[in-house]
Amino acid sequence: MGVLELYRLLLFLILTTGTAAANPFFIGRFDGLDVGPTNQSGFAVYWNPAALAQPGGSIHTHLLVVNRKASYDRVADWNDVEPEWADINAGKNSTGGTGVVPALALRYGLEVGAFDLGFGFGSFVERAGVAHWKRNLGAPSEYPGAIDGPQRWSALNAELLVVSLTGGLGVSYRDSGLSLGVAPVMNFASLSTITARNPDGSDRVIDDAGRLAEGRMFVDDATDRQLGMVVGLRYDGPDGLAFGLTWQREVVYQLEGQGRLTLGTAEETVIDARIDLPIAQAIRYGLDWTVSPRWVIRPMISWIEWSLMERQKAVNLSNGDSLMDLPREWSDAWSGRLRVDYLVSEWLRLTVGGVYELGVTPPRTFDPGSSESNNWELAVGGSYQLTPALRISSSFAWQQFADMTVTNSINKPLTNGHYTDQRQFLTLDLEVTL
Amino acid sequence: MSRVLLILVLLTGCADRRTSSEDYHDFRDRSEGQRAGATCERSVSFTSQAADLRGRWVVRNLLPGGINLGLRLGIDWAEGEDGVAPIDQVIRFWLMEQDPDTESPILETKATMDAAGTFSLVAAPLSLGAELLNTANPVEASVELHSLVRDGDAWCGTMTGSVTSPLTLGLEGSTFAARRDDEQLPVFTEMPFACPMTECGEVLTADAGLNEDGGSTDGGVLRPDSPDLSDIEGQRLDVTGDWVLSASLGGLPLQLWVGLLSHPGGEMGPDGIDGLIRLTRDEPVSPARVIFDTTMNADGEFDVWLPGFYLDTDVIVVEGDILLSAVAIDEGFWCGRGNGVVTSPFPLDLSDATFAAIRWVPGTEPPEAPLRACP
Repeated sequence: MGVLELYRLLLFLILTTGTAAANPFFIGRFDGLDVGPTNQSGFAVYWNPAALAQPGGSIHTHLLVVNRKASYDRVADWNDVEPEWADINAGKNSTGGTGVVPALALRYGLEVGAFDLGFGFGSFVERAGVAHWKRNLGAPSEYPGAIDGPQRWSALNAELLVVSLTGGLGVSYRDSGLSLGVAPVMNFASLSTITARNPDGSDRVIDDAGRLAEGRMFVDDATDRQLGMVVGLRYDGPDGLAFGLTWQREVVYQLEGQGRLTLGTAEETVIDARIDLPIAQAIRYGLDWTVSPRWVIRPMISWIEWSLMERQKAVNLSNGDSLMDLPREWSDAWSGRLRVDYLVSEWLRLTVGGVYELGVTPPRTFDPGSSESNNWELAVGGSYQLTPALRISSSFAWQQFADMTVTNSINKPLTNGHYTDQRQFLTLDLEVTL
Repeated sequence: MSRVLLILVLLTGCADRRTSSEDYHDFRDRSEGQRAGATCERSVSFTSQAADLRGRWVVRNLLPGGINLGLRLGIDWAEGEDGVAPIDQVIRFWLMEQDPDTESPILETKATMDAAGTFSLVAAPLSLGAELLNTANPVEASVELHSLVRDGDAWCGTMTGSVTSPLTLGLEGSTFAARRDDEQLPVFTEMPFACPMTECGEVLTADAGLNEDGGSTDGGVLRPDSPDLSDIEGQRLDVTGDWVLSASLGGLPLQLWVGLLSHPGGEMGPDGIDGLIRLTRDEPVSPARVIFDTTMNADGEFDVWLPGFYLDTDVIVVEGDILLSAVAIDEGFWCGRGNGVVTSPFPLDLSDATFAAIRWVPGTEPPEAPLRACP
């Protein structure tokens, strides 16, 4: 058994025995089921810029339709909610909705002696989250906060968006099959979020005098831009083997914006605030293994260093004091993925695949806002070469998160209860070869 | 560009597309009435007087957002003070969890009590520990306690100033009450947190007694006499909830959504009631059209005095100076009689007005043939 065969066997065993990666807020699925470090489309500028080093050019447009449905049942007894407040601070609520996210990538490569050079440009949304929880229209109107649902103390409404612009370069020494690429990525992040908030972290609705106690903390369009980086390595070997390895640099956004606090009956407080939002470094390692002229197996593993999210903080910019300091205690994320391609004809390729991810959030810090549990994903898709210059592909993926029951929350207010979450992704990609 | 893309992300589907900003301002609209505070004037129900306050005290402060702040105070007379008002006092502050016998005070200040028993305590800077606001940094505040002395064992008042760090939080509306730190001291959570107050419409007379203010004015409008409800048997009840009120105002039928929030008075006096008035077709998230507050006495009676009442129903505009005198009959019913005048859409004398209210779920159809008077 040669080294390559041994490597292939080990990788296959790792993938089929299931390590995984939770990836909060991540919606990047550029090029549908062909995502990963062996991607050779225009979106190689994101997945692995080493693959830009191939002669020719293309324009690639991508459209993602994402749908989410999630629920949280805040159990009164588990969250120290007295019976008289159960209608207001306990019970089940849900969030859901559909969004459309576009992306665009360009690639151009040429031969230069023994080398291939390639350039790429991309504009995409890698991370986004829009969570609007349903209103409880049956809530008693004398408590003005209750209509926002029992989950409002952790998540009421949020809009997170990271828009990225990137330009990449790939170089390949043709005879060796080795390629190297790098792509700086300029990320523009914005966050608006609102939660119910009491100054002391309680879920008190009225104070001991019967006056309004419940408040709101609202961060209005906090923004930052940070430079990221993707570095990739690709090897096109014999026997139809290609593998890719990418490293995505950690980015820590320091989102600055206006914070508005309405705390009980106090005058509104307006401050300049900063929320730290780290996006962990990631390593992805994948393989395309052409088993036969019709079958290709494409496994991938990834690791994301989410353990850096020990706590999440917000500070008052005027004095540097802490405004929010939430325990997160996330763990590193691992994921395993397997795709299988079947080439029906020269023009048509069908793909099925699955992913298993380990959630990064421990039960004790789980909340309805940003947490994700272990999850699996099943996907089907196809790619059709309409003309020699035009490829269209589409895929559908169902991501199902494990139902969570949390009874040991350390959040304030407590976030014990039952959680469900599921998401669907529909992609449509159109690549025009120049 | 990010905003444009965010709009695109939100473009399709069935999601409720409220933004965080809209949610925030909706909440402020909905809570405006409760944040605005009382609509009737109340006064402290005792006459403040100078007294000897030397000794140890526990002070319970109720701050905005429902924060209960406990402080320990030690009061001494200043050197050379003979105890005749004005009385110069030296006041030392400890946090509730500190032991004044073994720990140094966090603050020392001076205050002079006048012959009327009033004095102001300026405490700045006051470092209150991080736990108070659940933050990583100590909470710093600059406060002034405006104090009235009930007797040598109790004083109370209001607090102004603000928390200055980690954020600015105005303390307007905060109250406090102090009790001697001795064997009579109740459990902290059962201590009063404000001065005992009069009911709406009552004033404190010179001899410290309470008189009904039968002819008081509000905004220049003479308040009419409350209708006699002695023939109706009522009881003191928690009327918190949503109600549909059906009234006959001199023959003019009117149906309103009334939201009430009771808070027991306990030793502070009668039950307080905060109220909102909306039209029955209004959305639950809509701001209240009228807000009021009142108090319920031991017989379950409460008056809602609405001088300058204005209500645009989209069909007619109802204006007037309206008094609704109600009595709670049972958990699901209250009713009463009115007084005052309606000036629009046409003049009406409300001395014969009646009304009745039943519990109601907003968003559902109100009753078609409701009671409009007490049975």
